[in-house]
Amino acid sequence: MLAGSKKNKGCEDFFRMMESEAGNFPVDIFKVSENGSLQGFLALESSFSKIKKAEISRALSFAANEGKGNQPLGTPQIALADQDTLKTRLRTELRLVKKSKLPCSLLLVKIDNLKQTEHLKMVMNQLREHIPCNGHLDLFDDETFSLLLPGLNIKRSLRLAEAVRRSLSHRQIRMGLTVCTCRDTQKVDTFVRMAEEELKRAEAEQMEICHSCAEPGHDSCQVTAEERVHLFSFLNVGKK
Amino acid sequence: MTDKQNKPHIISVSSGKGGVGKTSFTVNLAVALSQKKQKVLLIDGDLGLANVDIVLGLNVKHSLREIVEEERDPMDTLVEIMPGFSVLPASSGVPEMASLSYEEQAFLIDSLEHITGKFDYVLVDTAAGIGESVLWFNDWADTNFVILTPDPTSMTDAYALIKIMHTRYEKNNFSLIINHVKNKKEENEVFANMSAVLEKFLGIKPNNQGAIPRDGAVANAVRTQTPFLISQPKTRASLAIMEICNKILT
Repeated sequence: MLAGSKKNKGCEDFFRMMESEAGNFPVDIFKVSENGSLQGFLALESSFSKIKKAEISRALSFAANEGKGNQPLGTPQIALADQDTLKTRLRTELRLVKKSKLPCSLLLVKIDNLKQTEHLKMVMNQLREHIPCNGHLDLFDDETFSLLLPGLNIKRSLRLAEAVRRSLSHRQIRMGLTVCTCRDTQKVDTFVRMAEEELKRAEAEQMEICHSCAEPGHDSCQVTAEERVHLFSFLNVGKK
Repeated sequence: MTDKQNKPHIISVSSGKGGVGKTSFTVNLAVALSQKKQKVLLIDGDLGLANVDIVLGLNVKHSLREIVEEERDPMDTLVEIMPGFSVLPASSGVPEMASLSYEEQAFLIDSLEHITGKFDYVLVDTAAGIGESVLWFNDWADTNFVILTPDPTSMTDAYALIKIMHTRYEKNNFSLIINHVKNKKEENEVFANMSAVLEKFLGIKPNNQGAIPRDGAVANAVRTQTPFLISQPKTRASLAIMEICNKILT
């Protein structure tokens, strides 16, 4: 069992890395956050019974902060953070992409009739089922959710997007996905704009998902015939 | 003098093609730098098929494998060859080490960064080819040495490596070392040609770091597992290595 609780900006990287690492082990993560920013988390072995988890969650809930925005451990957040919070999180994640060499994805999911509160809650809960323990679900605008997915490359992100599409197949849905790799890290605004452009492209082209990935294709570095000719030219001086 | 806060100069030595003398060159360059009172760390970056320990005749007990798999302290894995020259050996015949995951790569680089501050120069003798470890060691380095011979296959592979590092990792600072040259004319021809092609197609101007002539002393040194700079310091290859070393220091 592990718990962190310092409200310190310098701890964000640590928390993110611990969350990523926890994904490789049979543990369940319970986040403690305030105003959308992660303050700490609790990791419990997956084998713990639900009753035991509930007891621990209750025992460790932050009584002193009740009613001030802190969630008791284990209780899912009801309110979603906004675009500003997403950008704050992205700043941390994109910094980590360069450091950890792990990719990071941003999936924007636009759904029809989302403005009605009941629909929003229902869709939100459906989306939550797909998010890995270190991921974040935020409200991007009135009709669009953002799923921030640290550590997911293009293939895994597309698999997740497909799972989202299936679970919401009864609704009209458009998705825009972009992936940042350590080979081509982006600024936060550029990264968000890339995801927005993919979403707009999906709408314009009547596609369910459009994506972009900065990772170049494998063939783009192939040595061309012209380059070879020049490489060997000095060896052929005087030859026919 | 170095202290823990120093940022060392990290140099990767790669070639694309295997068998062009990369390990022999790197070991002797490390010896040369340490003879010039520099603190040098040589990392065997050929993680799956290590050779540095063989060229130096080391009996390795621990390697980079233990750092990755058992989180062993890299400081306890260092082997001091002579004052100012330490080696971080790798394992041989371990395919898992040749294909580390992103997480393992990040962990390894993180671990290495904890010890590199104690040195003035960190040399990384990478594997042949353009595998992931070659690319991320080159990405990690401040300067990329690319060693090639006048053989067309070697030139093509060296060019391919530079093209990948430039295209994908935006690397521009390449230094060419031409090995096994017959004479000065051949050295000039090979460098001028490579340089022209790199500039024409990639817009890169490589540095001419130097050349090493064909020299029987090199093969003998490998067989006797002693750096030729130590066993035959006056041979032509040794003098060429010293010249390359002096270029690095100036």
